[in-house]
Amino acid sequence: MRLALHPFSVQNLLLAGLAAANMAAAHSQEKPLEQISLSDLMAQRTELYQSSDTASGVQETLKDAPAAMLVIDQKTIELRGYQHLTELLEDAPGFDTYIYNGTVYSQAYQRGYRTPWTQRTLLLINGKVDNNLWNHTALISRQYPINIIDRVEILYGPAGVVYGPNAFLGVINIITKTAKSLSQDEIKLDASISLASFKSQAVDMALLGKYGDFYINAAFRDFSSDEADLDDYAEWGYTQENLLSDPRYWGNGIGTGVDPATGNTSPNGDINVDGVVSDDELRNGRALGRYYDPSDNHSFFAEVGWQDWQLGFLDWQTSEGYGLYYSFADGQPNAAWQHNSKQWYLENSSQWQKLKVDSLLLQRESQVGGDWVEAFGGAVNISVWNSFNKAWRFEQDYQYQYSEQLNINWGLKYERKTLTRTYALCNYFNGFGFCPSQGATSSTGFSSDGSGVKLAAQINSLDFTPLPPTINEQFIDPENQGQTTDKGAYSQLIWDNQTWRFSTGLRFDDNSIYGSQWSPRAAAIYRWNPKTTVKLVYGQAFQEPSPKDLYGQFNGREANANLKPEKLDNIELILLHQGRYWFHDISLYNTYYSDVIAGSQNVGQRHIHGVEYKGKFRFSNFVNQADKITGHLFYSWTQARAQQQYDNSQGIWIDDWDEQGDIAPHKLNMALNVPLSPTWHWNLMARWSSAKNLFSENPLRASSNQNRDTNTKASAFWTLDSHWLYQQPHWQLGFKVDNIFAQDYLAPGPEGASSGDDFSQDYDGFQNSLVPQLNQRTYRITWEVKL
Amino acid sequence: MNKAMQTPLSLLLTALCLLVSSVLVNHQANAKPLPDELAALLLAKLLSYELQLVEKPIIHIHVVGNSKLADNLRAYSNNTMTFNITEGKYPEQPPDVFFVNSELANDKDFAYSKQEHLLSVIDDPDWIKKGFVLAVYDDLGMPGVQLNLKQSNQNQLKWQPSVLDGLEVLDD
Repeated sequence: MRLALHPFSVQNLLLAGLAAANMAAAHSQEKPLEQISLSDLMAQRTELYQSSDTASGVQETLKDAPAAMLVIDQKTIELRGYQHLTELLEDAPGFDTYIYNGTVYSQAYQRGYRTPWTQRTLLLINGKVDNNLWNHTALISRQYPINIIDRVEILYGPAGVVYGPNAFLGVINIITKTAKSLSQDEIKLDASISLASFKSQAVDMALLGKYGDFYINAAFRDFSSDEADLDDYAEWGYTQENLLSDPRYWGNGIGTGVDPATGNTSPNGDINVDGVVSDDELRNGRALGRYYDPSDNHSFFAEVGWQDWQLGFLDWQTSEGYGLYYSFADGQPNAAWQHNSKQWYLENSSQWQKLKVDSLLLQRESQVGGDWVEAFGGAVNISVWNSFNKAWRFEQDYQYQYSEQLNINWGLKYERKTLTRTYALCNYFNGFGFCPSQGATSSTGFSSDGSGVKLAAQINSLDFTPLPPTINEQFIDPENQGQTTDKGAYSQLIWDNQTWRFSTGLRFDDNSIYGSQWSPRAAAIYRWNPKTTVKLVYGQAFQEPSPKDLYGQFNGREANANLKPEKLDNIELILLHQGRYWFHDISLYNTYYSDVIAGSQNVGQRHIHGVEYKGKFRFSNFVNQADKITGHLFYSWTQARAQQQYDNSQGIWIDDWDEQGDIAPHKLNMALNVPLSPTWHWNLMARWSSAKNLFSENPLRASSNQNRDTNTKASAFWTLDSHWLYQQPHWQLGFKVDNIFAQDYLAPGPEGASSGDDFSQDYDGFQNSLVPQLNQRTYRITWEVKL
Repeated sequence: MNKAMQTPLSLLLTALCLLVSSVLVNHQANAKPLPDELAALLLAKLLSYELQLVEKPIIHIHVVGNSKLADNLRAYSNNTMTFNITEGKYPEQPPDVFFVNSELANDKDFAYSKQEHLLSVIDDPDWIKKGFVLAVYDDLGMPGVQLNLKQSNQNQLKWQPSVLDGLEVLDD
């Protein structure tokens, strides 16, 4: 079924334009802003005057940005006790956020669009893309330094006109502090140590310094954790620890059993079945066949500037166990899966009278891979995976302030990527991946040859699962690489007469594989009165199929070299109203998606519409001399429907307009900051998410699985966190308790979510259909010094 | 005392001491400068309530350490109020209004503003008791304005009475 009335028809847009013009004429005598009353000025929300270039690529206030936005500044980060990005997103409207603690730490679906990972939201560090080059994932774990963050700007809706490909559902732009704003010869240091449940610890430091025309911004973070034990999670049949050493799945090596060749007992993790677990059989210092899920994240960031020039470097790495992501009958959690990102860049910003030119030359590397211990089809293997990718990019953006009313800006981009096609993968099934050391004996001449795969029932001390060969993590074999070239150009016109602001733009992108795409945007912003602003925004954007979707086929996932880019049309109405105590920000959006990619296919359309309400309040405090009481109330309503559903019994996608799944129709976020004295702050953060139907690939959804009578939903949940903060001018101490009421719930499974829930046997569905979440209180204490 | 009890008790005593000391300290840790556009709007508006300034054909505003604020103030200069904006450390001729970025402020600045009877403005309320007349700052999401009335009187400034109702006035 195709919905009959398309809201983005030329007629509708023309009508909207005419209506806007009429309103402009009617209010052409509106008072300029500087003539508003003092009381109205005193009631303005300062965040609306925050300058940002996230939405348009040019500095403008949030009030004037052609998009719905949320800014979380450093002060809010401190008050709430946030230590990583996932905590921010859990409290942001419009995101369905879950912690999987697996190949990805967390998953955040923005604006109701379900994807295998967080791939359709662009993650930027100071405007520079940090999504993985190969799988497009915004890897949101604990790796980014927090003390260097000045603010995090979250943009809702497409921004392809500025960023080109992949600014699809929205943008998260992490803006770091800069020493440019320091006084001469000033140095600032912000360092913190955190200790938390499960032996989690983090050291985080930011250093800013300025000497004459020279400045430096630097930060590093080191995080490690044993992560929670199984007892700390909700119950799920495929995450029982005994499955990890069950010889029916894992044989007598990884599993606990008896060596058929010698009759000797073999403990769990004794891969070569010689009766002893030796050092080379350990993973993360422990034997396989038991639950262990350690994490180790670290990062380094530095920028050195002189006058208009800036040289920058970013390097981060995450190494994480698989947690409860996969069924324990299919994957061992005690292994290490790594993501790595490196960026080097040189920037220049020059101004000639009314013309400003920003230039960027950037090189980057993305790597993903690690160990994988698998039981599939009665066979066991220990394999090694890697995808290394690199790119360089040149961008130049021009801004010309023609007059007080008119700003013209345009830009160019050229990017060259060298990408891994399929995983470098050794010790896996014959014909999968790319393994030079086994290629000669494989059926393809280049892949794994199957020699590392052993039938579980036949493993013994004479024929056991071999350890994989070593793979060079910083290398792309010429036989397994593809190169792409991206060219882009855009232009925007911004016209502002104090009452009205119009922002229009068009971007053209051409990719050597996917071809060319246009991304237009038009926005009308009307300043109704000093308290109220209305925005109408229309935009289109596209998402490239990731190289992983195109070429990265393996046992658990298909690939398809003929995928087309996903596209969207979005229209939204945004209302901002500032009252004395409350600030209301409401977005109503309606988005049509086409050529949606799921399960390595283009599976038709999706239609998602919804409301995001962002209410912020500020009241006088009952405590003398203490700060104001502040907080927020966010509500999101989302209705997401998909044209095609996955038929689990036939294993194909079929036309059937129905609910997309995995998205809570209703979500509520509340936060309250109560300063108890000039130096004590008490914060409460509550979240509620309604029950949700599961995605059609999930076999627990009855409507897409003829073999199932009862539909299973992911149940509603709510959580409450609290943070106590004691502040002195040069140091502060925070104590955070998460999940105070120890709520017990399961999240919708990631990717294919294919495990099912017949726990009596294993159907080789890798990803758990429902993923247990922590059902314990967790604690964290953070001591921060500012000099 | 039971050894196991010693650590929790010492933690409790430390927390109690911190709580008591914090109540005794008046510390405005969470104020920060306003965004420049809003600061300029608010400052321009506040100047219109000083009875001597509004009579002047041109108001000389000197800005130390905030070029963007100076640019915004220039933009708000119009027929109703005309501003002459200068920047740098100290101007050759004493200005009417003297704005100082608190990151760069020092004791000389308010000594200078006292000596010249200026309407001195700063973006951090911690400085208001040291002798600045006005503090214009971000008070947890909305503008905060503090007026040091005693210093204002010493500098011979005269405010429209109505404006005093809308500001936080310090008169001790």
